[in-house]
Amino acid sequence: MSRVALMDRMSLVATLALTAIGILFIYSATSFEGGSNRWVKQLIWVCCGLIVYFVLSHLDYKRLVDRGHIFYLLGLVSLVAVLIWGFKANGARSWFRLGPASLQPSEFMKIAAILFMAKFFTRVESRRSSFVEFVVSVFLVSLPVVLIAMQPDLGTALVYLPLILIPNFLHGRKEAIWLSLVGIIMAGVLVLSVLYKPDWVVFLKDYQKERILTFVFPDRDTSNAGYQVHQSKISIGQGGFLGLGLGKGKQTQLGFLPEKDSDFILAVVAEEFGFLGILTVLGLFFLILQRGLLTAFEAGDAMGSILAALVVGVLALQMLFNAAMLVGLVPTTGIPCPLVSYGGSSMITSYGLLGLIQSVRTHRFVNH
Amino acid sequence: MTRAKVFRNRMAVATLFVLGWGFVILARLTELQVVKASELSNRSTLNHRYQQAIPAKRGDIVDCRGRLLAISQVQPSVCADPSVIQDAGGVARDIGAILGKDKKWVRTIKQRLSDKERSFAYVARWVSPVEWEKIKELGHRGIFCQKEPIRKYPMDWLGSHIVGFTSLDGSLKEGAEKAFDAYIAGVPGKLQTYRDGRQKKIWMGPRVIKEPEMGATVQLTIDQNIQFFVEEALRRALAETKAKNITAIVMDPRDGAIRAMANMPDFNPNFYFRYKSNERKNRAIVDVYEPASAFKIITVAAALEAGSVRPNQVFDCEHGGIKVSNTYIRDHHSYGDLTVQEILWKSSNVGAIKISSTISREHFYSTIRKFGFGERTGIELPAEAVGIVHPLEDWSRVSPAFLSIGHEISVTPLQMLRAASVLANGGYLVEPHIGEKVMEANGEVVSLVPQTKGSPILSSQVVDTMKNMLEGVVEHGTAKAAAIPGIRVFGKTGTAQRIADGSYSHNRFNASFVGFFPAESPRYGIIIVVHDPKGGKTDGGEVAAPIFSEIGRQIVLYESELPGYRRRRLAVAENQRPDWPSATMGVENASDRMPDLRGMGLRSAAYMSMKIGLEVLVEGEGKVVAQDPQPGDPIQPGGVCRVTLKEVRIAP
Repeated sequence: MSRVALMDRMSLVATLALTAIGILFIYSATSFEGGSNRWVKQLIWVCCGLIVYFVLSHLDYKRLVDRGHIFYLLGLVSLVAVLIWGFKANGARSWFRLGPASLQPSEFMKIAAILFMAKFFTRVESRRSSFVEFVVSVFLVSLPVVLIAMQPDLGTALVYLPLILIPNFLHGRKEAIWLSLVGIIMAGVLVLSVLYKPDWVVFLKDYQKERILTFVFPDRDTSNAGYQVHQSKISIGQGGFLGLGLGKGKQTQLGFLPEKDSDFILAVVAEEFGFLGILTVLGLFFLILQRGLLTAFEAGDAMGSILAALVVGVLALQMLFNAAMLVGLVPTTGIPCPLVSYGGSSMITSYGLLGLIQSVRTHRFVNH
Repeated sequence: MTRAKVFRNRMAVATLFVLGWGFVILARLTELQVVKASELSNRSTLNHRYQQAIPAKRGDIVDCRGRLLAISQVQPSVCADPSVIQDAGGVARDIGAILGKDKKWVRTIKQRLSDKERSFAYVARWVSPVEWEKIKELGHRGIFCQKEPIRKYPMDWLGSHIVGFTSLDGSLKEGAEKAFDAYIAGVPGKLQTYRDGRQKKIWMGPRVIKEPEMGATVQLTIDQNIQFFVEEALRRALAETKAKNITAIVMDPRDGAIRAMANMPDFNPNFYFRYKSNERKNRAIVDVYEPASAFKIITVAAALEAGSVRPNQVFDCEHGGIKVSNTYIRDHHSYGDLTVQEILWKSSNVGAIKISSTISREHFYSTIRKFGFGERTGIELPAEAVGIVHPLEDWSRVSPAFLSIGHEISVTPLQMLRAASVLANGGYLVEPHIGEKVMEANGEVVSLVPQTKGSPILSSQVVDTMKNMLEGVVEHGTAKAAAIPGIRVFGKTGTAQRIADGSYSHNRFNASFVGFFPAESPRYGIIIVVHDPKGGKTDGGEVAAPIFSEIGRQIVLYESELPGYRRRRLAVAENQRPDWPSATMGVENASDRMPDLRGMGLRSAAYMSMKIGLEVLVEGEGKVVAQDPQPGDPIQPGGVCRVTLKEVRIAP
């Protein structure tokens, strides 16, 4: 039996459908601005992504996970390099410029970190992870997170959170879980102190504090910091149940909606295809995640199981955070919607992550 | 608990967490897209629609016979949305070429159109429709037309201080334009432009979403003809007397309706911006002066009302002067014994002071206040002055003496006319007004005439006595020059030394006359105030009274209900051609043939006839329908021209 036949076809179809919707709305959101060809670029990135997807699904994930530490180190080096030689856009030094394309190492680092963490936690598969191991895992994930936060790109850094949370939650000791809870409470305290005593919080930049403030009081200033969420909400509300139709979203087409082809692309979907459209997108996502979770359960070994679970966790967090950001439930942090938003690195990474799940699936039987 | 079970439980918790989060997002989406959809949709509408007011067409202002004093004309204005204009220089050049503007204009407009932050700018206001059509054909993006009303005053100078003006942007208003703005202004319409968010690339052009509502027509009590008589007389008088300025008001003493109000120098409201504020000032209600002898009316009336003097009571006028405290007050001439009425006729200061000494200070003060001094008359026009009347507690020992001859008090011409009108209407203090009625677009008519009448402030015997006495002023006294042939007139002169550098000047005066006719039942009250006349004549009787007479004669001619003569040469000589729009004067007659007067109004016809040296015989009212000699007949100088006038209804 060929590997292709063993692949999860439903997941593949859902992935391609989501990607198609993404390209459609990138077209809708940008094509009226003097014939932008972003949708064509996105199509090229999707092709690259598909290649990565199929290559990874054919490779044995065990061999990849075994070399996880190498990928991880390479990733760290690239993150350090981007801080030094990177290209600065939107105030963040996150990109390498390669001719017409720009690459975002913080995206590719996701794959490397997942592989490395899968390797790390495979060791503790047969027992509860020790407290020391918990601390070490936090440290290992914190390295790239700190480097990415220095760009600064808080959004992408946030996506690494499941790498600590998921394995430690599933395999960890009770004490570790309680400690994590304490960490979350501390984060809450941080938010509150930004709200009420912003001068005490010396380690956050002003615009970061501003975003937290805007999150809590979204109508505080609709023209500056709260502008994006404000406009996003108007777009979503305007779409109604059925939407205004492709290319007819007033918010989108008249340019009121910010970042309409990347972070806020789901708002375009909501405006032009309405509640039904956004429901379709979310449905496809849950289908992909559900299939991924199934793969995690059916995996041939603990390594595959952990790997698939980590991928599902990262993708789920990214998608949920992006959707929550649109409707003003979380601060605007700049997390693109996987598979849908415009962006090459994000697209290739998402396909790569899903390719890893396929690899777990196609290698689940020992005799293969 | 087995490890597998713990793992499964924790897996379930994690999955539930993810699903719960998804559910919250879903709930939020439902709230936004289903529950709040219409509200957010409205907000989006506000986002990309840009609204602007379309100015409403102001209502007309007409005189008491419906003749236009102010009118709005709608003309296209070329407007622009600079945020969508790409080649500001090219647009400015193209439009400048069509409108025939110079390079400087093009530069200014280019700069204005280059401001990408703006979404509205005027390029040229009130162009002709033909010019706009040409500009439209250029097809520049972001250029559009807005039909805008422009205010025009077809009578130019006529009634400028009453009608006032409205500045181009409507921020500055004067006169009736301001007083009745609430009626005249109308309701602005709404113009909508669709625009995009940050890029400002989409521009869909303006669309009218609400038509403006035109303002109502306001009819004034002003009579254009009488206003013309007054202005003509004042203009000539200003030249003759070399006065600083002259004010005249014609009012119906029975109800306070202002028939005419004029000040010289005046201005042309069509070009209000060219004139100094001094010329635009409506002195009739804004400037105060010391009424001097004219105020003796109030002194005598107060004494008669109190019963402290009898009309034929004799006072010793001390042969020319009286010492009041430390001040010696003189008469113009030396008088011996005078009766009360002779004191008025001859305007004896000594007599007036003696009369005032017969009444209590309180009575004198309350009478002054009863006559309406020290308060606004309530006329609708803006910026009316209160005048100065010192409160009783501030009076010195000599105050009654000075007040009795009209000093230590400042009044506006309108206050003085209103006070004197009490004698002409049987004792009532009227409310002067210039508003007659408002005619709304929907046919509704609202009266602007004040309805209150109040109770008389003088007994009828006193009023009658005063009237008789004041008739003598014109017949025998200081104001013989105020007489109008065939009509009984009564009135009082006043000559005050002007206050210069804080003291009374000996060679600068305010000459005034206030009078009424016909005496038996007065219909016209006129006050003339000449400020600082130069050259020999300075007395009210010499300076102001003749102006009164001139205006009165014209009114008598014009007013068919007054007894008088119908055949009279109108006093318009060629070298005194008033500043009057040529349109109403008809064409110039160059030949020695009789011009065609048909279709002209009386004034134009009379003016034409006068110019070619013919006396006019008028019959009927309205427009000229027949004339003798016929058009084209040779002119016999010194002859007579008969014109027949008829009310002509102009077909709509």
